[in-house]
Parts: sequence; structure tokens; C-alpha cells
Amino acid sequence: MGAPKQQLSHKQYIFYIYKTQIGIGVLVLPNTLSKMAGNSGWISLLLGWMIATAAGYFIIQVMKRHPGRTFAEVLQDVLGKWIGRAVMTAWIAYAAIAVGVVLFMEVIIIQVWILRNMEQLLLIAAIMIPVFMITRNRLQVQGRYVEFVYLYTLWMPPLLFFSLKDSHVLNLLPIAGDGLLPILYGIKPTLIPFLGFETAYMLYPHLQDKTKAFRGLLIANSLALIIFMTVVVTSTMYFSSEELRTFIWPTMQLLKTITLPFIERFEIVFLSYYIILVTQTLCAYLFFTANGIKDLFGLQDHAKLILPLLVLLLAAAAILKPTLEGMEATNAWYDIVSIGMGYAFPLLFWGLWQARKLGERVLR
Amino acid sequence: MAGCSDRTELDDSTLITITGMDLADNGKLAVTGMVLDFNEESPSQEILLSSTGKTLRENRSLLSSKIGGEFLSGKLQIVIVSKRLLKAERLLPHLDVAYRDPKISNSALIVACDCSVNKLMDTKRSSQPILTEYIRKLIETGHASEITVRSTMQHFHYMETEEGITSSISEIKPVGKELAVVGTMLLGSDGKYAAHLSKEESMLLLLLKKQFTSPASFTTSIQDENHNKANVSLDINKAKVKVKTGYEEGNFVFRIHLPVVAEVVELEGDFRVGADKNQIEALLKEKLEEACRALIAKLQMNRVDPIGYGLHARAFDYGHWKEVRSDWGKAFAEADVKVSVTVAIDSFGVME
Repeated sequence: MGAPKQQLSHKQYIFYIYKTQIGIGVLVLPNTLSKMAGNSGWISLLLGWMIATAAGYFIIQVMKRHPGRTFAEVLQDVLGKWIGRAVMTAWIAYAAIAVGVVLFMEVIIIQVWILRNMEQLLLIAAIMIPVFMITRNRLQVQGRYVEFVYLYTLWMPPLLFFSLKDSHVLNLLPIAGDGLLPILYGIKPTLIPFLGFETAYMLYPHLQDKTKAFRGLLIANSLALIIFMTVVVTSTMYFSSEELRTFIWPTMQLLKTITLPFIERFEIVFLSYYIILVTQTLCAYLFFTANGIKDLFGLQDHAKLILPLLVLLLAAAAILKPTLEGMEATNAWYDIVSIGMGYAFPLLFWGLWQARKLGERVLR
Repeated sequence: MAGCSDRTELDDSTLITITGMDLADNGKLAVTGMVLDFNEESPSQEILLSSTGKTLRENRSLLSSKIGGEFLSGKLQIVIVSKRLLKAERLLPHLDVAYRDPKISNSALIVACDCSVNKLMDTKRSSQPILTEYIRKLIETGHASEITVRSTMQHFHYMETEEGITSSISEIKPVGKELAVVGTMLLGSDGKYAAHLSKEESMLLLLLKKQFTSPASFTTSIQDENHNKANVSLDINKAKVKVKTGYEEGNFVFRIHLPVVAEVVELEGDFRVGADKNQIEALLKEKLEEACRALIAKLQMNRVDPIGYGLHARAFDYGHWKEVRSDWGKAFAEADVKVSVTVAIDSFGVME
């Protein structure tokens, strides 16, 4: 086999997953979570983190027994040639739709908050330019970009603490006042923002230090947890429960309260940098799609696929003309698909892999 | 460039900085807008416009038809609401457009006035500073010297939507040729006018809300059993508020403990601060307790809870809170609230 040409350092791998996880979810999470779990959403979030980490564990468990094999090859090794290929096709479709969902949602948010009158397609095309330039490169270059994104957006989360002076710590009490059931219902909305760790399937063959793969995934999940926890706890303390349920993007609303003597509506500045943050989520899933197609058909290079994929996406945007209402309907079913792909699949696949291994031993 | 085709030039735009809301005689909403004028040739820097319509947004269109230039409400600084409107209707639904539109900054101050808004904004002031800045400063300094609350649109939305608290907004009034802060207006759980707090009561409200910026001044007269009398002014430098929440015999019980560290800044009368310190502290404690009790009694009588004891009730006794959450104002009125104060004088200037 030989080592794959594309290599990702441990640090790049952590940031790659972490910055893929920080996407649209961070803006809507307090709203979706409080609708289910009230003020005890932070407990659901902790449980969600555990589940995400467990799913990540199963991913690494399978991948580490097939070093040097790509995800498409591992699928075919375990499930057989045709089922393996079918499952890989499903993964490619899942990642491709993820690019669309995240991109359209981002564009809608930008249109609502800043560029009210801008042509949607123009905005989508503008966002695609950096995504195209980054994704057509080797993974190593993308890893460097992630490091840049990490450093460049490091100042953003602390902004949330501006709201603390008007917050009410008592809002966090009582803990689990309505019992356990709402907290359990609250787990579902927390699973979506943690998605991004499933890119580990695709990243694993390219890791420099494969022994630390699970540790890296755990660190990435925990970094994301810190961000989500900050967002959820600060908004729960700041807003009344009714406000949390009616503001679609509570995080933006929270940033809106920042007023400095020389600047108001700070969320505009925030959102401009947030675009950079979301490019990583877009790049990761786009690369997953292109790289998946490359592996599935045994192509030489993924770079040639990027442009056709983006053109397809632009065409989809032109036909579908995404609206907030439409996107919410799409998210309703796509959330379930993502939970299936990101959480149920790793467990199932690990189970099948175990069964197959056992079967082989018995036969021998 | 395509991105700049819809740009807004400052010279061509009309910025509305104050929105005044009043109840018109036909039951509609009367809106008065103060608009910044960038025209160099015009004598005043502000233009007053008014209109009457069903909603705030409809009035905005009516106002904008009266003046040239693109009408922008993103720089809104102050929302003035008349007592008449607050008595008749709930304010929050009227402001929906301001919260729904992300372009409007939620840091505008909400101010109530005890007269018609038109009269207030049309008052010929002896000096002519820009009214927006004038009112803003009035509220900011009034809040800093503890004679009124400072509620922005964001705070107001929170207070109106939070079950465990009722709204409090600053109140101003024209006095002669000037405007003056007269205290705080309290709204009930129905969002309508409930009570007025004087400047002194507002100070205690801020103290109990833990929203005071030190020092907060408090003046009272004390008298001991030997008929020694004195007028004392205090600067409260530090104050903590400890609330214990309980539930007894069907009612909530709040025990509020208020340890105050204060400085005597004025003492005119028969006492010596050095020698009679303990006695003065004890007398002041009684006076402060009395004042706090009177304030709480007034709040309970009007069924309002601007301090937010509902948050304590929810946090520490969720089971019983759920029974009363739909009408917390009533439950608070029936609650047993006990206030205890301790006063520690930490300094008394350069004289004994």
C-alpha cells in the first residue's frame, strides 16, 4: 500500500474536526435546545457530547484495524464489494447535501442580518470562491487553512461574556426542575452541532500519527463542547425562557447587545468573521464528497471534481431558491438522516465488523 | 459594483432618533418622531414630525412621506411612551416591528412621560441642546445618581417576557422650561401602568435590584429616646442583597438581608459620629428597614415585582412556583416579605 501522499498533523486533525463542528448549530442551538429541555439544556449537551464521543470511538476502532485503507476500501472489505459501494454512495450523497444545507442556511442568515437586498446567487457564488480555492488543494494545505481559521477566530467566543453583566444566574435553577424526560428529549438537538467528527472516517488514512486518532477526536469534541456550553449557558442566563423560544438565532441576539461607545450592532462584525468559520465546515464536507467519489471510482485526483460539484450546487440554488421556511422543512428530515449517518452508522458498522471478525475466527 | 448599488448616502438619509408613542383620541396610535437634519441651511438640527395610524410601522411610512430622503430607523436612541398609552394598552405588541427588524439597535432607552408626548417633545427649552442627547444624558446621569432605572429596549423585552419579574422604566416630565427625571414607572404583569415610584423609592429599588452604582445617597432624620435629633445623609458604598426563599402556609416567604456599608457625609443635629456611632448605626438601620418595608408594601399593594423575586421563587421552589407562574404579581402580593438591614459606618469625613 505505502503511506498516502496526503498527510495531516495531529494538531491540524484536531482543528479540522473542531472547526467543522462549529457551523450553523452554534447560532441556533440555544433556541432548539430550550424548546426541548428548558433551562436544563446544558445537561442534555453534556449527554450529547458523550454520545458524540462514543460514536467517534467506534469510528476509530474500525478504522485502526485497516491502516492505509481509505473509507471506501474499508467499507468494501467489511460489507462486500457492492454493498460497500452502495453505502459509500450514500455517504457521498450525505456529505454533498450537507454542503448545500450549510451553505444555504449561512446565506439566509447573512441575508437576514446584513445584506438584505443582495442577490442570493451572487452571495452563494462569492462564498464558493474561497471554498473552491482551498478544497482543490491537498489535505495538507487544508490542514494549514484550518490552523489559520482557528487563530483568526479565537477572539470570537469571549465576546459572549459581554452579556454577563445583564445576566441572571438564577435562570439556571432549578436543575432538572421538570424531571428527566425533557433533558432526554433535549439530546436530539445537541447531536446535530457535534456532527463533523464523522469526517474522521475520511481523515484517518491521512493521519501522521494514527495512534493518537481517538485522543484527537476527543479533544476536538471537547473544544466544541466548550463553545456550545458557553453559548447555551450565557443565553439561558441572559434571556427569559419565552425569549429563548422565540428568537431564532439567540446567539446573534446576544451579540447584538454589545454596544461600545464607537460601535453598535456588533453582530455585523461577528457575522463577517463567522463566514470564515463556516468555510471550514463547507470545505470539510465538500472534500469528503470529492474525495469519496475519487476513492469510489479509483480516480487519480479529487481536484478536478471540485468545480463540477460547486457548479451543481449553484444550479441547485438557482432552481430551489432556498428560503428560511423551506430550509427548516429540509432540516427537519435531514437532521434525522444526519443522526443516522453520524451516530447510528458508526455503531452499526462496528457491530458488523465485529460480527464478521468473529465469523472468520469460527470458520478458521 | 453590484454590492454597492443599494448603498445609502448619509446626506440623502433621514435618521430618526426619538420615537414618541401616544394614544390618539380616536384610539389609534399617535407617533411623534424626532429626525436629525443634515441640511446645512436649516436653522435647527432636529425636525419634529407627527402622525396617527394603526401601528408603529404604518406611522413610520406616514412620517417618511412628510420628509425627503431615505427614512432610517436603525439609529433609534430613545422611545418615549406616554402614561396615557401605558394605562390603556400593553406596550410590547406595539414595539414588535422594532424587535423583529434586526437592523434596529435594541439599545434605545425606553422612557415614560407623565404628559402628552407631543407636549414633551415640543417644550421650548431655555437652552437648545439636541433633544436626543439631552434626554439620554438625563436618564444616564439620573441612573448613575440612583433616581431612576435605565431600561433599554432589550431589557424591556426581557422584563415583559419573563414571568418572574415585572417591568420598570424611567419616567420624565417637563418642569417649566426644562425636562426632569421624576422617578420610575412600574408596569403590572398585564404590561399596563401600575404605579409610580418617587426618586427616593427608585434608589431603594435599585439597591434591592443590585443595580446601583456606588455611592448611592440616602437622607433621613433620626431621633433617639432623649429627643436628640439629627438629619443624616449617607453615601452607601457597598451593599449586598441576600434573599432566602421559603414557602409557608400557602404563600411564598422571602427573607431579605441587606448589609450596608456607608459613609456619613452630612450630620446636622445633636449627635457626634465618633461617640454615638453604634447608636446612629442602629437608628439608621431602623430607618432603612422602614423605607424598604414601605417600598415592598407599595409593590405588593400594586401587585408588581420589579425586583424579580419570582426568579428566586422559581429557582428555589419550582413545585410551588408552577402553581402561581401564570399570575406571579398576585402571588407576590400575598407573599410574606421580611427585610432586615445592618448598617456599618466605615467613615465620616474629617469631623467627629
